[in-house]
Amino acid sequence: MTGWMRGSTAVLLAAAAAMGTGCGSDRSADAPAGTTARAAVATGPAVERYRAYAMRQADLMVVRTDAFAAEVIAGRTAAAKAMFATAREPWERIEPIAEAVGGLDPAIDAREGDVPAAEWTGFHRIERALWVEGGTAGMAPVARRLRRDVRRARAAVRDAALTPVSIAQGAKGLLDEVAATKVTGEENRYARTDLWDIAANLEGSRRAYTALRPLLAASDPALSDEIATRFAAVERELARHRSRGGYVTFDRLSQRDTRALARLVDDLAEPVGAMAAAVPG
Amino acid sequence: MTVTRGRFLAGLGAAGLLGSGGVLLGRAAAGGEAATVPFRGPHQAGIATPQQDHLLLVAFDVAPRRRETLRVLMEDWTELAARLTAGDPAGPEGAALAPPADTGEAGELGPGLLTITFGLGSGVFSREFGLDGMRPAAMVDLPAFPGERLDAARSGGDVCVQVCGDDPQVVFHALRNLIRVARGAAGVRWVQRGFLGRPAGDGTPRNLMGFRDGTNNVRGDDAAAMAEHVWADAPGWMDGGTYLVMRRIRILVEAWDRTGLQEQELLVGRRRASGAPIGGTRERDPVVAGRLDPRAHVRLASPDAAAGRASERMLRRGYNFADGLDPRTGQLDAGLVFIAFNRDPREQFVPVQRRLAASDGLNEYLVHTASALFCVPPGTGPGETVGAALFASARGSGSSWVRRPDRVPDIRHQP
Repeated sequence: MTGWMRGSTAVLLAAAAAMGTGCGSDRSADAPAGTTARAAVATGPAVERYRAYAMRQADLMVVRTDAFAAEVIAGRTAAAKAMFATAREPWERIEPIAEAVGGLDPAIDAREGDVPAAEWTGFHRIERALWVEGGTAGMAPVARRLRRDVRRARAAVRDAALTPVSIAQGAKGLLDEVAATKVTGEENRYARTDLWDIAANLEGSRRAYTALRPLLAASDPALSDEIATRFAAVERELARHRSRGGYVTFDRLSQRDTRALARLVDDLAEPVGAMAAAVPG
Repeated sequence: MTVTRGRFLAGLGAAGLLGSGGVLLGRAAAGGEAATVPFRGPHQAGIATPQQDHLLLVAFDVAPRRRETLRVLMEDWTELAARLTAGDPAGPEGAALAPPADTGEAGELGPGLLTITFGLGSGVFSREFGLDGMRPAAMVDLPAFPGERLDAARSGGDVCVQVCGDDPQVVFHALRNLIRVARGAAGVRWVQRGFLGRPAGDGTPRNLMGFRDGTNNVRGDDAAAMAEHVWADAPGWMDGGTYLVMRRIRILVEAWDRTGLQEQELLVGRRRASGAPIGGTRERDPVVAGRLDPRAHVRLASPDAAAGRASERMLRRGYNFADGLDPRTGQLDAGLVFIAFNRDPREQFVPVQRRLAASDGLNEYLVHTASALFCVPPGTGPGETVGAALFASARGSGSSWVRRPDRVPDIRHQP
C-alpha cells in the first residue's frame, strides 16, 4: 500500500484547482504550509519525460497482467506461477501515480489482512491460491477483476496531474515501500518474489529521479550527485542476489543480507526525501 | 532507609497535600522523596492519575489455572502493591541466610509517584477458573482490524499489571518484586516498556511522530467526564472499574522522518509546532472536520459531536517506546504503547479503531504489532483485595486446593 501519496493527492487536487480543471473546493485557506505556492507550476520537460516513462509502464502493466490473468483463467497453475513476478513489475514501478488518482492500490495490491477477507482481490489473492491453495480454483473472477482494475490504473496514470513535487514524492514513496514492507519479506509472502518488487520499486524511483535531474542540477547539484551515488550502491547490493535472469527467492537471504539492503535503501531514501523541496513547484 | 518514607508521608497528613487528581503534590511541591499516589480508593490508581514518566506494562499467564490460584495471587499482589506504592520495601530483611524479601534496588529512591494497576484478561472468565459465567458483556474479543500484524507472544494474557512512576528504577523494582511474589501462580507472558517526556507546566506531551498527542483527552480530574466515559457501573463487581485497551503501535520512523512537513501535517490534521488543528491557530481550537483531509488522523479519531461520536471519548494514557532494532532490517523498533481506559470498548475503542484501520492516512507509517484488552476492577478499601467482589460473587467454589508458592516471608503479616 502506498499511503505516502495520500498527501500528494491533495497537492494534485490543488494543482487541478489552480489550473481550472475542476475540483471546486478552495483548500488554500486551510491547507498545510506550502500547498498553494507549489500548486502554480504545472508541467515542463521533466514532467513530460517522466509521464512518457509512466505511460510505457502502464501499457506494459496491462499487457503482462492480461497474459497472467489468461493463464489463471485457463487453470494453468505452473504457467501462472512462472509469470507472477514479472507481471507485477510494471505496477511496482509506477504504483504511486496510479494509486494517487485512482485509489486502486487496495484492489490490486492488498496483502492478506490489509482489507476485510471478503473484499480481498488482486495479485496477492491469486498468489495465495497458486502457492498455498495449490491451484487456480475460484480465481477466474479475481483475475477478470484484476484485468479491469489495471486498466483503470492505466487511465489514472494517463490523467494524473503530475508536478515535479509529486514526482519527487513518488520517488521517495517507492523507497518507503521497500524499506517498510518489502525488505522484511512481507509483500510476497507465499511466492517469495520480493526481490523482483524491490528491483521494480528502485527502478521506478530512479526513473523519477532521472526525469528531475536537470532541475536538481540547477537547484542543488550536490544533492543530485549524492542521490546518484546512493542509487548505485543499492543497485550493486541488489545485483548480488541476481539469478538466471531474475532474482533468488527471498528466503535465500540471510538476516545480514536483508539488513545490508535495508540500510542502503534508507541511506538512499533520505536524500531522495529531500528532492521535493529542491525542485520547483 | 525506605521504611521511614512511609512514616514520613503518614506524618505529613494526606488532606492538605491532595491534588485534584488524588495525587499528593510531591512532584512539584515537595520533591521526589515524598511523592506518593494513594493506592486505596474507589478506583484503582494509575487511571485518573496524571501520567508519570515511565511505564512497564506486563501480562501474566496464571498456572495452575484455578480460581483459588488467582484469588490468592490477587491477595498477595494487592498487599505488595500497597506497600511498594507507599514507598515501603516488599518485606523486611529477615535472616542472614535467607534471600532478602525485597530485591533492594529502590533502596533510597523514594516512591516516585508509583502506581500499580491490575487487570483481568478474557482467559480467566473460563470454566477452568470457575468464572465462565462472570465475563462482562463489554469484555469482548477485539475484532481483527485490517492491516494489523499482531504478535501473539506480545498480546493478550490472563492478568495485566500496569506499573507507572517517575523513576525508571523504582518502576522496574516494582515489576521485579511483583514477578517474584507471583512465582508458582503466574508467569510473565510479555513486558512492554514506555516513556514519556512531559513538557513543563500543563503542556501536551509529544509522540515519536513529533506531534502533540492527547490534546482533547479526557482529563482524570474531570469527574463528570470520567463517570461518563471511563468508569463502568456493571456488572456489580466492576462498578467503579474500567476496561484497558493496549495496542503496541510501531511507527516506521525512518520513512516518517523523510516525509515533508506539509504532508505530515496533512495526514495528522494538526500543525506540528503549535498542535493547532489545520484551519485553527491554537492547540485547543476545535477540530473542524470540513477543514481537514478526509484521511487526516484527527478527523477520524476525534469524538466529533457533530458526527454523533461524542460518546466515543476515551481516557488515553499511552507512552512512547523504543525497543531497540528490528532484527530483520536494523531499523528502529519504536512507536506508541497506546493505552486507553474506556467504560465499554464496544462503544468506544472498537468503532474508533475500525475507522482508523480503514482510512487513517497515517496507516502507511504505522503497524499495530500487539493487542490486549483487560477489565480493570474497581479500587479497594484498607485490607481489601483487588477483584475480591468477583470471587465473592462467583458461584461454586472452583477448585479449593492450591499449592501456595514457597516464598520467603509472608508479607501479609508484616506491620
